[in-house]
Amino acid sequence: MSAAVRAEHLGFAYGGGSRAVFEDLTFQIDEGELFALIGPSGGGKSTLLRCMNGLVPHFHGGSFSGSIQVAGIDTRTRQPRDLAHVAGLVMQEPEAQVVARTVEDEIVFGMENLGASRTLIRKRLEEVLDALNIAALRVRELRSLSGGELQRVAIAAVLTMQPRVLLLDEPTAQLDPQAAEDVLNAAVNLCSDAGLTVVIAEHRLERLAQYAGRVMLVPGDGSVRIGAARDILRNRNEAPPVMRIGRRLAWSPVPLSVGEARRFAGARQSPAAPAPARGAAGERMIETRALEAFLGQHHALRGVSVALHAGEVVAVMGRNGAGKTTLLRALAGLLRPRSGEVIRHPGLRGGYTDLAFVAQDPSSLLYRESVRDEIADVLKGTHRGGDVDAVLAEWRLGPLAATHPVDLSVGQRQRTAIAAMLAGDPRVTLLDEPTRGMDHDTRELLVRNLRARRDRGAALALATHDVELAASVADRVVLLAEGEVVADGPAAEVLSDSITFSTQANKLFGGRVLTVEDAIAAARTGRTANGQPVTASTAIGGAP
Amino acid sequence: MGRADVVSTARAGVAAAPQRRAEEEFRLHPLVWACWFAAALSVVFLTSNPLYAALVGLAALCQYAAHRPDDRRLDYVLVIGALFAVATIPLNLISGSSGATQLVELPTLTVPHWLGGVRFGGPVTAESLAYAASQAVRLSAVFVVVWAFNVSVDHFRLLKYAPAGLAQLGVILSVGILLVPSAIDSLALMQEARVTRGHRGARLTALPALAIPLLRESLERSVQRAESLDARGFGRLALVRRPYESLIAVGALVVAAGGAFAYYYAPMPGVAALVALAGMAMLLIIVLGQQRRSGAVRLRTDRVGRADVMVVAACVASLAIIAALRVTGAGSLVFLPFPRASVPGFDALAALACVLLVAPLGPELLRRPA
Repeated sequence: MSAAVRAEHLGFAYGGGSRAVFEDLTFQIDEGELFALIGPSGGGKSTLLRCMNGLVPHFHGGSFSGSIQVAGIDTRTRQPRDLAHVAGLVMQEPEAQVVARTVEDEIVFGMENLGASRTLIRKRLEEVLDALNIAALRVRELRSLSGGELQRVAIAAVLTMQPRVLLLDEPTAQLDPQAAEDVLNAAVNLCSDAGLTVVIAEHRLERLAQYAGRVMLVPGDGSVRIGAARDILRNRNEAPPVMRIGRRLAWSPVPLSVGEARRFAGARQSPAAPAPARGAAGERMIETRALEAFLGQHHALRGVSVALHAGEVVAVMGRNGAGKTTLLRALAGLLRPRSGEVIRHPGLRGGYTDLAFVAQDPSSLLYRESVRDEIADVLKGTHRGGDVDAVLAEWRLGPLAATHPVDLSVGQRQRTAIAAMLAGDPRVTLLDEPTRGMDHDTRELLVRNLRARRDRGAALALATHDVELAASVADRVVLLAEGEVVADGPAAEVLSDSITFSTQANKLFGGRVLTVEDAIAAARTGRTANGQPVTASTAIGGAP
Repeated sequence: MGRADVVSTARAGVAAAPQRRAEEEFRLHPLVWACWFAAALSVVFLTSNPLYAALVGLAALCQYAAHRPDDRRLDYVLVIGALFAVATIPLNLISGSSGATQLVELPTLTVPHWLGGVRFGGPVTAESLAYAASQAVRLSAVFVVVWAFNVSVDHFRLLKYAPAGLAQLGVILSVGILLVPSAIDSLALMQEARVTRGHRGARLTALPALAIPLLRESLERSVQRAESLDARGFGRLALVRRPYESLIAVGALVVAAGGAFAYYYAPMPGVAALVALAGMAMLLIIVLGQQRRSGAVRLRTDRVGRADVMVVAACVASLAIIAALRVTGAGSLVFLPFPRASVPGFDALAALACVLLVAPLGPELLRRPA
């Protein structure tokens, strides 16, 4: 098999005497391979992808050494635009890469430049609209799309070009589970049917792990490790839940997908019975009553009534464009509803002293000169009181304290934005898609932090597509569809009766099992004498 | 829902296909907008009569009102433009006045001789005031024309008409044009971030603190957009460049420029004009040749409809009338309130020419039936 990408002694450091992103890297990606890049934020995954389409070194200054060939072309010899037919890149922030005004124009733009025939353009346009399930958006203006919708359009725009090597930088970071599945399926099909090579940098590995042939771990110290997905992920914390369950229960070989794990887990429990009423939550801190909101002509919220209580975490979930952001913005007082009202607990101080809102796009939240300044600015503005150094330590931002936000990776910006906006322990906290672009360790940090805040009596709401996050931290889940509340109940209930919005552990064991810990408990207590797991339903004996 | 929704300028909603066809039928061709833009600017430059400039400004304002997205923040740009134009009046007055009718006497400040010896202040005359005011009106008209064009045209579609050889120039221009709207978007997000960080206070007082990050953010976005255009093959040449092509292009440019220079300063303007035209023709041939070789195709070509033809005709007629009046000296196009202040003249034909520039509103009115 010939090499789609061949790097020889590749090294790169951004200008200004900064540390090398990687040094003396030699590797090869075969044609038709689905290759995954994993590793912590700021480790160099995005930079490596940019090397593969020539933006590094042509667009980004720095010291470049060695060489990298894509489909036999040395990237040093061509401009990125003359590599567009062999290497297509979907960047991490879709907002930054769209150029047209309407969805259709955006999708066909690359193919037009490559000089494809009109028939082919038409055909591919229709195919990709169906594959990514965005046919309904085709005539929309890009400015009117939600973040997840925009991300799918950006991916579609590059998929249609069918470059020899497709480079995807966290393509599913802000997609709902179904949309993420669609995107990965499209990539897998292009790999197997059209022989394209696909390189994906990703933190969410639940779906990707089973499709990835090989995985490159980019730990961020200049080195890399390459190997089969099973070998690389076996002992890593970022392995998908199903692998962690398998590892803990000593299943062999460690399963990469729910399907593979099925034979170890035995029969699923029957659907969850109604959950016992939860211990009385604290006081209502903030609530909406019959909220109606419009974004332009778009009816974003239809009669939404939800409440946030002290000492509880609520996950707001739903498809891309379902109204999650709009609901949070209305709660934060940033959006004037058409009708209905937002009621705050009389004990809450006005403004943003007791209420924190972290918007989705971290880049727009940061405008000071350093990470430290960002935090100090929030503490000063909100009069919450608190210590900058304590916040830096809380979010492990100490080493980055003096760094300018511009020089942070997308994941690091996200962490900085959350740390700053949540500084000083606000009593109500609203987070919009907090795990976007976040690596596993940071995510764990976030989960621990949110739990601690809940235990201190804060009311927290997060809009998220990340089912695993919701399962591990949320007490209650509000499911939105087309601007309406379709489910509002305990996490164990909402997340266990769903096909799309359920965790890997739940898919495997059914019942009320949501997290890795639940699954271990279910399996361990149910073990028979000969070591075979019994059905999970007998194991915890809850469901009829 | 990201940045796109946060700025909440959505007006598309879920548009159905028939609706799109109707929209496209009345949407003007991007080049027609370019034509309107060129005509409106030329008319303002050809006349110094503030009445006509005001008429063109009004026509553009109607255009703006009809095409503006549901985004009030875009209006601020016009307000800032108007304030800027008004601010030029005192600047004009203190930099020296002439004319017969003195209004007030300002203290004089003369810059030292070695710095140019310019004198500021002194007598302020009614004539200078009239002149400065007329210039401010013209400046405002230019602002409105530029901004109306900016909100009306689909930049992306216009960009596609840039010949492949000049694609890089097109990218630079469009990034430049989009800088203002994208800065407005960024500003809104930053203002919001500022509010949620607990900073209260008037929006204007926050501007200085946000200016640098705003500039940085908008520039970064623009660079990313250019990066994205590049990565998706915009302006690539399917075939290798021909040898010496750049050299020949530079040569043609030099010939054209030399000819134009000779036209004004050499004894044989006829020959010089021919040389200049030959140079320009050569450039055009090179650019068109590259365009053919770029191999780019367009899935949807913008159709030229009746409305497009009518609007272009109106723009050409408007410019032709004004140019003809300017050459013949009729129509009171020139307003010079010296040595004694006067009321600017008014000519029905010239005014008609200015009013013709509302032409793009025609299809717009048809598009939105009552």
